[in-house]
Amino acid sequence: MTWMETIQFFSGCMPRAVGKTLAAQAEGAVREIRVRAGGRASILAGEEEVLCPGTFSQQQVAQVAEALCEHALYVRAEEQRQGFVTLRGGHRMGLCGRVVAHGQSVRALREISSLCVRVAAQRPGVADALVPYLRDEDGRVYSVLIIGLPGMGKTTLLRDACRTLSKQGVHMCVVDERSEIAAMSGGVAQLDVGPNTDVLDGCAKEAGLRWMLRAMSPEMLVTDELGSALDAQTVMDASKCGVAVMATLHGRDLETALSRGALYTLVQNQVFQRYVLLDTRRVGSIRLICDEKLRPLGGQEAV
Amino acid sequence: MLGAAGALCCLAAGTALGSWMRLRRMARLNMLRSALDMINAMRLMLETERLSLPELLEGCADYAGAGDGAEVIRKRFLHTARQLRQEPLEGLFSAYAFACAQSAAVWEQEEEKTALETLFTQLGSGTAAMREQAAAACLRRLKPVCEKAQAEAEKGGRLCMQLGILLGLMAGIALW
Repeated sequence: MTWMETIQFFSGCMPRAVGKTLAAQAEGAVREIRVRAGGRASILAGEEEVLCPGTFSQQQVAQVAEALCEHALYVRAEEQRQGFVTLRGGHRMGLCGRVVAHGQSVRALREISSLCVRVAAQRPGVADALVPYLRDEDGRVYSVLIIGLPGMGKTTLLRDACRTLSKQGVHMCVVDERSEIAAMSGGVAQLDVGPNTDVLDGCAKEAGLRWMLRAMSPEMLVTDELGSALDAQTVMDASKCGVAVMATLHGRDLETALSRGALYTLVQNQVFQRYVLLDTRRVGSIRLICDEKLRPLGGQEAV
Repeated sequence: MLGAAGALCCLAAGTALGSWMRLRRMARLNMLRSALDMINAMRLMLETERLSLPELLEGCADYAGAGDGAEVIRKRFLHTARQLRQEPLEGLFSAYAFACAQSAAVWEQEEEKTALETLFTQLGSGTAAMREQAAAACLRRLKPVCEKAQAEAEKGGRLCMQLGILLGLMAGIALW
């Protein structure tokens, strides 16, 4: 999906005034679109927030959500329960509204009142500074964990690193649980993940990683947002099989991110040989690259 | 000679009229049968697949039978899907109404019209299970309509044909 197609897609799903404001933004500038019932739509373009004319009713917000999902919101109940759905092109749409709860668990989301679309960006070359740290002397790839705050470019960096390594001939296997890494559509990746990459789309990480290990003999497995104990166990199993893993993790700094439950075991077992910490202020900027013993190797802080 | 030719023409015209009326009844039956097949497929797809509404409608269109009536309902589903894609902010019902205007059917009667409109109103909101329920309810409504239409088409079609021939024959004799 080109930038033009992306903007055309978003514009078609929004009221005309918002569509016009979107189309007026510079190429590649739009990072986020927010719509709230009773309020105005806002577009985050670069570092600037642009307010669109006209206020939205709750019904209009729900219509926009439906349109962005291409009228498939009803089959994405499972994703809705987690608060967001992935749109065509790998963009993430976060939703708010009235939650139908059952005890502590979310049963459904009704009366959608606000949404936030995070536009998936393709920034070729963003991983160039990282790639030299990803191979050992024999040319074998290391396992890498990319840590950063939401919206700071973890997935963009992961995708570009995947693309670069794939171009270098490493056989990459992507488990794209939320369709955000490759944004597959009709069996074709909408975002460039490289020529030597196989993508398993929409599959849960745990099942997907095992699937790829069994079926595709990968050199490196790529997945987004590790979190659960099950994820950690699967990554551990993959590393025991001698396959490198590249993944992302939410976190502000290494210590707090890696001390979280099951992930701590991964650090202890030195499953990852490279830790990449992203800047908390500048999108897509690498703050620190560490080795398996968390010793700094590169990045702004190491310099 | 002229009288004989005129009589033959009247006979042919009467037969054609009868045949046209019969085909019209058959077209309605054809449309109802196709609608039943397509909605049955819709139910299955809602149960087993994870399709967006335009994809669902396009998938259902593959299950339409052959013939005039079937073609009308198939086109309606496809037009609705296309309209939803082109104007995504419109609801499903208004897309369906647009499609109906694009491919109207003179033989369509109030019973099937209401059943299909209700389906497209309900199909636009709620969970997958609720939509599957809407398809099931539409099937329940359309089945007796289809059975009635079949009986009418069989009985009435033959009658129309016979009446047409008789009318043509009478006009021919009168002209002779």
